[in-house]
Amino acid sequence: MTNVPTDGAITPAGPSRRAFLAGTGLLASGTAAALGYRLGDEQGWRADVFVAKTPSYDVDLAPAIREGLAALGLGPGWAKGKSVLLKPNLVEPSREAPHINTHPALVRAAAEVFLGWGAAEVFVAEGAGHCRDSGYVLEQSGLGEAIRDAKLEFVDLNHDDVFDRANRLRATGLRSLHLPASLKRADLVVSMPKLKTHHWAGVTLSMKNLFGVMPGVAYGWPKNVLHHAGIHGSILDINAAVAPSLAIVDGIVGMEGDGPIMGTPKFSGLIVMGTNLAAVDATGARLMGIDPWRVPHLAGASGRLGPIAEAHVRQRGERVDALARSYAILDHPSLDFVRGGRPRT
Amino acid sequence: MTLDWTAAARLRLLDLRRGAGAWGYRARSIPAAEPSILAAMALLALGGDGPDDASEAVALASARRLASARRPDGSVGVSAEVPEPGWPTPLAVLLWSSLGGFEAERRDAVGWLIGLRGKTIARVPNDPMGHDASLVGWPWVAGTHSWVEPTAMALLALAREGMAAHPRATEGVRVLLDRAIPGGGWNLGNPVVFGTTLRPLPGPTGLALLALAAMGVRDRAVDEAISYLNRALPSTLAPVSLGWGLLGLRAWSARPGWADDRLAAAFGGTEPGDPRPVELALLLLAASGRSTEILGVSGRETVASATLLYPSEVPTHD
Repeated sequence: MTNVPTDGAITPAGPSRRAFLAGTGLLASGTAAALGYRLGDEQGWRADVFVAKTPSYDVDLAPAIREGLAALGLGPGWAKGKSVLLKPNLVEPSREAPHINTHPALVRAAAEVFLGWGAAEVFVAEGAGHCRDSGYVLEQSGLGEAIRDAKLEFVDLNHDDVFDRANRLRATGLRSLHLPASLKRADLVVSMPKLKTHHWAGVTLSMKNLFGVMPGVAYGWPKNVLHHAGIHGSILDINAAVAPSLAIVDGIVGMEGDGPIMGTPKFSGLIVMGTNLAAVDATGARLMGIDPWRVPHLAGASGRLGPIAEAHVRQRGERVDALARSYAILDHPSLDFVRGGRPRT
Repeated sequence: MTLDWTAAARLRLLDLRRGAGAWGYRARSIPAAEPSILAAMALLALGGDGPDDASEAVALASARRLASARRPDGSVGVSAEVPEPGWPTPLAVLLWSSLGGFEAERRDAVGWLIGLRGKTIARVPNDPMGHDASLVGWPWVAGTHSWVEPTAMALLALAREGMAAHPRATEGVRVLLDRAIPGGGWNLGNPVVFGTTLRPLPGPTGLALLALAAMGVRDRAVDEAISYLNRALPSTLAPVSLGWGLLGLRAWSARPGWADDRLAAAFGGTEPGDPRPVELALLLLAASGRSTEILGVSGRETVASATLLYPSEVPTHD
């Protein structure tokens, strides 16, 4: 099962749209989301996730992306004539720590694939969480040079025009969400995170990456309104509102320990792709040796935004157990919730 | 060379107006408070140097537009479509003060600012936060924690309005000094988390230096921040970071000799096809000797002779 983008709204191909919307009542508060382990009913939810083995950023990454998407049933017809928004993870600029941000080579390769498939346009958009100056983030991360070379437009989502949308999931108490106007421009939103541990959220993957679409002019730097509303609930609300089309996870060099910015680089040598972000992130967590059911926003997504149970996620490409590595979790009691045990099924 | 680029940047900035005294974040964006204020300040800083002498009239139009867009509580929102939060309010105060007049607007805005308090966070065992989260500065958004940039902007406005001795201002200084990063500079306001020292950023560092100069407070954090900017700025041409960083250095009479060449190069790197008013405005402000006065920092003599308001009671980041 996949999220098939039509007019930008979520169209789950498993449970009906009505059932999807009705199911959100179970997550009426951030507390429920935080305690949402095993709440999800994944009946009818199935998703494909592709894992590609990739030795480094120096190889041509476009073929790996193309092959993975083909295995997911996506080809030129999926992108032809569409406006594609690539959302990398650009938390903070640092030349010394390139493993913080999605590697420019992967972003450029994704753009190449979609443009090659006849996309009407591909643009890169991000609202960095820690730094107001998108020019500095682009410059110091190296992404600016890459997107200039590829003649791609960059949109600073922190300072984009804004529209409001009712918060229909209500995993937090936020009644509505301020969203950047560029989301209306895009037919397809592609979340392109890094494979990282996160010192508040446990993991940061394609769902958490969408924090970066939220405009800083309305939410601040960091996007503190969302922290106060509840990180996990906010992640769920944002994903329901944004309705992303695809995830391409940069897991070639990930980050373990004190992520998302101060952790240690960790080579995993892989790219993870899928149209259902909950399923992609569940796989990403397993690839880091983390039980996705222990991550509240993944458990909360189960049955509402997608499947996370191993039995409901059809793995394509490389075997997860062959590539899984144990990513260190920061040694602090506040992360006990994510620690412990091997990934369960 | 310097004159050439500032004239070109000024013309480009004027071309980007979205109405009388109004600018958006991008060329086709709806008008927003921050780009309008910074653009107006930049034109004021340049004075009548350009081919026409419309700078003050345009800045006045901006100021009036902001005045008419105020909320009933005196705050100035981000834009018509984002009327809250009101974090641009202190910038509006600086513009109104620079132009003179606007007494009612300034009074109401300062009143709103004084009432806006960052949310405190109680310390917990094994607290991951390395800063004193019980101190109250200013948040980006009401109901959230205090952060460096909104606190620095608020201090600039209060100092400009002669309220540097207000208890909220003195506590705001403590917030800035507490959030200084060991080793120099500021970031958004997280110096140490989970025992790890985080990285500084030029933009917040420049703003914090401006605010401390306006408040007349010299601390070891100032010297360390100046050293940080002297290390960091030569490797960037990003206009916003370069602009705030150089403004912070100018506030402490530490503007480097390479500043003008760097600003010209940064202007050369801005994209004519996608010009950003905030970038142009900050480059122009950083190029002008009048900018610190407009931002509420009186300049070298005042800072050098300032009475240190809190010689012993203000904790440093040590």
